[in-house]
Amino acid sequence: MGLRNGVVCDGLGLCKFSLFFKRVKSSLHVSRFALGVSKVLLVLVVLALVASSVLTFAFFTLLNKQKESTQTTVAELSSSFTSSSTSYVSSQQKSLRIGIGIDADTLDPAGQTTTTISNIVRFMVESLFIIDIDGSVKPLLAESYNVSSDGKEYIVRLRKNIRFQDGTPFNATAVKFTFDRLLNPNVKVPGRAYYTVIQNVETVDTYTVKFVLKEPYAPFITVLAFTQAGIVSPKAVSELGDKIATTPLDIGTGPYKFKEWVKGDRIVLVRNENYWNGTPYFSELVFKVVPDAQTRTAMLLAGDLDLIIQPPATDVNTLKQRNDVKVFAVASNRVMYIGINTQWGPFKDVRVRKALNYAIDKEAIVKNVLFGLGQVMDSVLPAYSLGYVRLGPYPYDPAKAKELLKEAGYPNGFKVTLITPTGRYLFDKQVAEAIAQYLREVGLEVEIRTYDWPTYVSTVLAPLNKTEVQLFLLGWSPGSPDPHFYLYQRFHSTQFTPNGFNNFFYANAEVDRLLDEGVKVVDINLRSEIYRNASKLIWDDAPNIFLYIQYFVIAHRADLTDVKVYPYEMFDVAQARLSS
Amino acid sequence: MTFFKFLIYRIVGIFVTVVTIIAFLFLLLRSIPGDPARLLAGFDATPEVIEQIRMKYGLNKPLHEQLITYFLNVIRLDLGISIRTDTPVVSEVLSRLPNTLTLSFASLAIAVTIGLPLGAIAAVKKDSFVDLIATALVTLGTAIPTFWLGLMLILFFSVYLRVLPAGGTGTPTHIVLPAVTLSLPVMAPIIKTSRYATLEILSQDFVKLAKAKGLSNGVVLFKHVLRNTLIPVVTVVGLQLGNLMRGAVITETVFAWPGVGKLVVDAIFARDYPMVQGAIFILALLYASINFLVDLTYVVIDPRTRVGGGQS
Repeated sequence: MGLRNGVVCDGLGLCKFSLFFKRVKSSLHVSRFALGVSKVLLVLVVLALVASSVLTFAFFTLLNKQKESTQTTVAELSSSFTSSSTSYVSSQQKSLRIGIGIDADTLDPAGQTTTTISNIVRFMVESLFIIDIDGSVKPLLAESYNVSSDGKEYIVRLRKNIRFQDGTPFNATAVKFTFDRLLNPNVKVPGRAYYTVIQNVETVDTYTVKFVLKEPYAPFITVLAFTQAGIVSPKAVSELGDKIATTPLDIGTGPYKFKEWVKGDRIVLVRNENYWNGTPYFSELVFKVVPDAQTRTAMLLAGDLDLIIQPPATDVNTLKQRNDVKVFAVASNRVMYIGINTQWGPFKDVRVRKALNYAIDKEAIVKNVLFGLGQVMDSVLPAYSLGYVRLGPYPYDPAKAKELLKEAGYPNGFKVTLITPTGRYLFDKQVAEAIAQYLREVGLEVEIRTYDWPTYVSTVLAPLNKTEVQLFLLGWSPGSPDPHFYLYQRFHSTQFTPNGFNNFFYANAEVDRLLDEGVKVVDINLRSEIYRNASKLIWDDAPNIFLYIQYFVIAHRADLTDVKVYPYEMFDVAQARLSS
Repeated sequence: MTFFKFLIYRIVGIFVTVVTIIAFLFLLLRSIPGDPARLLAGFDATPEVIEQIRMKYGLNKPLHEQLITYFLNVIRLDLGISIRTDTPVVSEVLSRLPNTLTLSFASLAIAVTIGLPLGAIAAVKKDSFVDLIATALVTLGTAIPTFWLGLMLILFFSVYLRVLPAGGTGTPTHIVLPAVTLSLPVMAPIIKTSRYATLEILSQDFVKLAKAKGLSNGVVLFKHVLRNTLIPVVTVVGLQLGNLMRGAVITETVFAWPGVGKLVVDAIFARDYPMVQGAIFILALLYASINFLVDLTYVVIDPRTRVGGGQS
């Protein structure tokens, strides 16, 4: 420590700043005033420099961007000229920019849990079968299949002359490799439960595979259509190791190949020039992560995106009226309902549960709360599922509801709590509020509680002896249209939470028997009948307030054509093109 | 070595703060309902699958054991593996951090370059047109919700004028709208403080004295007033860093800006414990260090705060 020029110095150098000024002062004979001003100015100048450099940088790149965009237009023009002369539309270098709401967790097909990311993976990796728009299961990499009469052996014949993106041939070995990997406990497969029924996979010959099951499992073929069961190249996967989750290069047979994933920002796929099912039109698919639905819409309107999924429902009607945008709203696989805890107080009485169904005007909710983006449920199963039979809907009849409540011994209603997530489904909270109002009109005292999603999941999955749930809003959307996935986990009495998802604690021995049989029977007609009967029983027992099927909405620029939208909240743009 | 002591105190302070934050966050996260394994595996997962996931991430062990393991790992700078994405937390956070820092810094730069002089001018020319604008900006900046401002800017500049991109990254033009959006709520308190501090100092005796001495207005303003205003303003700027991080969450969501804010929010909704802990740890460390730097700038700006006492 020393006293120099009247400043205490501690050797750490901080006072050197002041010392420096003192020296400047003494050497230049300037006043203390100037010294103070110069310090203030110094700080201001530094800040100004930073700000101005940011702005200048931004300004110049803006200029550059405009230049670039004029260049692209020219390039697009010239390429469209060449294409018209050579008639190879697919040779164009055009990318399709798609706005999605969430970033990927993993790009490993086996690790898929969300529809949006599965949708992206499906462009790279194809499964043996695919579920078509009408809910039917179509062969994709498979050619055909046979099932043994006991329902335990599936023989699948494969398409020939298909190559993976890495050049290796697609064959029975690859199929076996894929399923062995799905069943390998060291690989992270959240959806493994769908495949644990497999005893083993055998390669009969190069293009024939035999699946041997532990027990008959009728929905097996639809499970083979899931993205998790996308067939991967043994070579590519072995070489990638853990990197398959982040950089799944050339792993599949699909129309697009992986290019890059900038976390939180975008996932880019490039065209597979050797795709077996017709070269795609767009050279690149760019999936931009835009979490806010309003921003996605704005980016579509601004021309920053070409296609977006799930614009805000409130904007759908406005978007429909624009001539530069096309909107697709299709009934999805998502069945929305109010779950009723059938073992809680008044709800033990089926008349009370039916009364709730009569008390609610589902049509009005769809029309006024959902802006028409739903379709009233008229059965337990959606129309595209096997075993669908039209049973309803329960008409809106508050008088009958009151009568039933009176009969059950609740002429003055009772107190009940309705819980709902918020922001998980289209207008979930608003729908719950509308329902509460309808229930109040028939004399119930309804309290609404909202939770964030993780808390909600824990709440509705509580076991019977701990549950506080009375009424809850939920959507159920299995990846397969098979009735087993709509009914078994929710209505079988062995599936009380937390084992399954029967958090209505609904038990009906006949329903149990039918659901047990339905999963074993091979014959389609017989199965269909079984599920029709089960549906009728469940509908009459009313463990739910059956509400509506939620729509899946995508919007894209008007000159984009041949976009395919699947009911299970996915879309396909492999065949999409721009109309000239 | 008084200053050295001060430095040591502050560094120990940072350390204690960050450790407390980690421990508190660790317990807080686990006390809110929600099961990461269930959220990852989905509704239709079987109990065996859920148990497998719990085991993989050590969620089946007793809480105190988990906490001790976590601390030991943090000391080795191992922040763990994200449950949602299965990748190291450090690399996930560090890959997003530059985006958040760029955004925060740009907003701060805008807020300070406009806010500081505007507040001072508004004070000197009290009740003038400039003062009116400054007051209006303060009110608007405090009252307008960030997401609304962001959407309006997008509608005007991207959809209507089509001069700036609505969201995402790529070119530096992408930063303009989010930075402006984020700067307004930060600018408001800076203008307010700068104006208030200037007003207060203008009314003090030493200013009157300076004027009485016959010094020109400019001299009085620069030598006696502005320098004294800087202290509260720097304090406010330091405090605004917390505000910036909070605002960044919303701004990053609206503008699809891939930053840490969005990462943390997603992680909370997935109950991705290691990711939330890791990201908050890094942010806390950053915030504490920046505040430390702010304290050091006091020393530079104002000799009175120099520990050990400056004398002249």
